[in-house]
This record gives sequence, C-alpha cells and structure tokens, in this order.
Amino acid sequence: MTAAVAAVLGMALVSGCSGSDEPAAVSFDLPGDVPGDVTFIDAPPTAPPAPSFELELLDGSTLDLAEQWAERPVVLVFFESFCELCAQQQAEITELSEQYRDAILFVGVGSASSPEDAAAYVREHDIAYPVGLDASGEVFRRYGVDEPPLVALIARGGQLVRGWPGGVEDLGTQLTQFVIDG
Amino acid sequence: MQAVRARTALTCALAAVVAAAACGGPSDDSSAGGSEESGVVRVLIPDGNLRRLGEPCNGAGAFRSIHAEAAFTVEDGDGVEVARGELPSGSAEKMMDVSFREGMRQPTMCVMEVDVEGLTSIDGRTFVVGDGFEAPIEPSEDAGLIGEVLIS
Repeated sequence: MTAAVAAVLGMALVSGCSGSDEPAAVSFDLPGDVPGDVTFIDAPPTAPPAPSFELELLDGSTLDLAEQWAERPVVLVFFESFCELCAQQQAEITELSEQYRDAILFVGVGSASSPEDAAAYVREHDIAYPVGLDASGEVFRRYGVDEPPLVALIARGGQLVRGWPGGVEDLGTQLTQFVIDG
Repeated sequence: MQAVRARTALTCALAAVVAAAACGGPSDDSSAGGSEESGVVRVLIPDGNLRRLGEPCNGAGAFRSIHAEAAFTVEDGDGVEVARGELPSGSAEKMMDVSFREGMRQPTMCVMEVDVEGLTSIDGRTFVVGDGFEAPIEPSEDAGLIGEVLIS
C-alpha cells in the first residue's frame, strides 16, 4: 500500500510538473476523394494564379498545395497562436472545414508562432485540417499578409479568387458564391 | 474490500493534491517578495494597417515582431535592464483625422496598454521590443499611465 501511494505520488509529481509544457502530438486529416455529387465553380478568367508552396505541417509531414488545388478548392487560413481576432473567428472556420471535409481543403498557416503554441491553438480550437508554420515568412509575404487573420480562397485549378485581410464574415456564403455549388 | 478501495482512492486524491501543491513554486506566489509596484505604458504601433476601430490587433507589416506574448524590456540610460515582460494584445485606434463610414476598415495604429512590473519612473527609460525596436518612454497626459512609447 505504501509503495503504491509513493508510486502514485511520484507519477503525479513527474507528470504534473514536467508534463504540462510538453506539446501533445497533433495529427491532421487530409481529404479523401472528392464526393461525386459535388460541383465546383470555375474561377473567373481574370483571377491570378495563387502562389504555390509546400508547407511543413506541425505533425512533421509536408503538404504540397498545388497538388491539393489541382483536385479541389483550398482555403488558406493565415493565423497566429497569439492572434485574438483569429481565435474569435476560428469556430466558424473549423465548422466549415468539417462540413466540406472532402470537397474543400482548409489549411492553417502560421509564421511567428512557436510550434508548441501553434499546436496548443490547434488543440484548443479542435482543428482537424492541416496546419503548418511558415517560419521564414515567405508565404506570408507572397500572399500579402501584413497581419493575421487573412483568409485566401483558391479555386480548383489554382486561381486566387478572393482574399480577406482581417478575416471574413460568413465564409460559408463566400464558398458557395465563388468555389462550390451550394 | 470496498473500504480498502475507498481508502486507496482517498490516498491517491491526497497525493494528487500534494503533487499539485508541489508544482506551484514560489514564482506563482505574488506575495513571495519582489516589487509589486508597476506602471502602465501605452505603446503605439503606427503601422497604418486597415482595421475596424477597437478590434484586437498586433503589429502589422514591418512591425509584425511586436505582438501579443512578445518579450519586451525596459532599459535605463546606461542600457541596463530594469524591467521586462510580455506584451498584451492591442486595440485598433484611429490613425488619422479622417471620417470613415461607421464600421469601415480604415488606417489604424495598434495600441497596447502594457503593465510593466517594477516600473516606477520613466526618466531616461527606453522600451525595447521586437526585432530591434527601441524608443524612449515619454510622459503621458493620461493620469492612468506612467508613460507612452511611439514605436518607429
């Protein structure tokens, strides 16, 4: 009995004191095949090509965005873990990413956040879509992100159809207006 | 058997409480020494970013390294650190005296009210933050503030 209590106390001390700062592993869901009943809206011919890039995700894997938007529209969600406005808008984005799980890929892109803080943000907001860090800031620069949040909408085929600095109200309506038939 | 289980559960609960108490070191105890005096410094980040007035913000563009949770220090005239801390989130304030439509995004500056523990005087003090930004702490007309910093 005494040994058991000592063991419990020891484990509690170790896990309680040193474990709290350890980032829990995060993993992400990539979309499956695009459902057969989904119809995408073509981008207007004047829409510019979206800057392509590869993103190192928080789970250590690499995502090639051009491969993704060849198959489906992509929503880029530029954020930072310390961005209060990002957190305020996150619930709607998370919900839409679930609703359009296999049809539209949502991707979170941070820059100045630490991997640990970004992972904490992912867990706090129940984000299942891929999230990575652009530590050099190159992707932020190419998309003109002066300050997160910024949401960029890329049609299937890779044309940049919309960007919303400061975030976007009613993103669901924007998706059905620009990239996917409602 | 049930009594033994109950006693074991109680003991484990006590162990958890002891563990929790052990985790809270002296740093969590605000009464454990150190200065409790502080002064609020208003930090103005004139980034001109388009925002709605009053919305939460961080530094934008060239000022992106000045954001919530970023470390700052306060130095005296000899460059010796006299205080340090982390920035809070800011709030977007009007940057120019132009009337924009209600609720419209407009050029703003991001303003942070930073509670600096241990700062009781601003004489010769410099605020250092982000990627090499430093600016003198100037007196403020606002009685609630110990000083004001214009980042540039």
